[in-house]
Amino acid sequence: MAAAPPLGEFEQVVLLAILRVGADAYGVTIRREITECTEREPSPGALYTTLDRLEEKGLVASKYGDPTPERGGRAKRYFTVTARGGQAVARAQRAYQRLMKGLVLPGGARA
Amino acid sequence: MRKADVAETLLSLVGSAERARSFVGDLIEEREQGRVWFWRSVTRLWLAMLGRDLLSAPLAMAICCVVAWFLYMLLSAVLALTGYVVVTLAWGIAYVLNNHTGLELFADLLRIRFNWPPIPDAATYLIQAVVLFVIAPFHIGRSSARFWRGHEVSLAVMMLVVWTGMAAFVPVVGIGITARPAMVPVMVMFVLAGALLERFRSTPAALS
Repeated sequence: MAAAPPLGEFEQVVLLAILRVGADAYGVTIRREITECTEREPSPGALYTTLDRLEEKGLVASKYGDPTPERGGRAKRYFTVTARGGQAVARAQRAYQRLMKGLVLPGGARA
Repeated sequence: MRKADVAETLLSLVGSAERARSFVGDLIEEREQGRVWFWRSVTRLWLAMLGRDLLSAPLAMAICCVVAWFLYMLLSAVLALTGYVVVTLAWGIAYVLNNHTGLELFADLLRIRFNWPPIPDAATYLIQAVVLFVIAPFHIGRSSARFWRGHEVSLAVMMLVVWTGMAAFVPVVGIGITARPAMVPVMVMFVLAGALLERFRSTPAALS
């Protein structure tokens, strides 16, 4: 398997949100999870283009569910993180942790 | 057509119809955010999808536009010549019938010699303008929609750029009319109209 590609910050946020939501991860639930955890609300456009990009990189996979009446008969697109996506996010997070380790931040807070 | 259907149709022009449907479904679920939020989200995604679509295969799309330009020139020449012949014949027949008595007409027919008038310049210009700026681009649009389904708008944007260059360096020279770069937006508008007609003719559900 090729090495997992480097990830941008928002890509990491999206991957982690999908992992946190689990089986019910689709556009609306992923956006809610990001809003709750990061206290910033991503626009649906930014979220969807990032999800498409992650899918092209092979870091997430998507499949369509059944159409539901409350969505005007439109199907949900469910996302799951692939093994490669899991490796990519783990590697990126480890890099952050290594950078933070032992740091004394301005104001005296310890990492 | 409801706003969700309009949004879905717009998004399906820059990406797959299935993705457009699920995205609009998500927006419907969050309808409490309001109409402005809905359309802002659709617009931002539409622009983002268009940008991604243009960058996904720019070289292939540009080559396709160059090929389309030469096909357009060929089609324009054939259609303009056909139109010119048809109008000349109609004009001449009308003139002969109007200016010859039955006996003169019979005598001329035997000698195959008619006092055939040239068609007015205005008619020549009209034929050329309609063919160059409307009919030929419309047919090119219809044909291109079959090869670039779901990419109609990005193809039109690329065509706008490539065809402007082509019109500057390889102008269509007709009988008195040249396709100038300034006319390319009009031509591309009819290319897009042809592409959209073909798209919705083959998938009427998208408009329902």
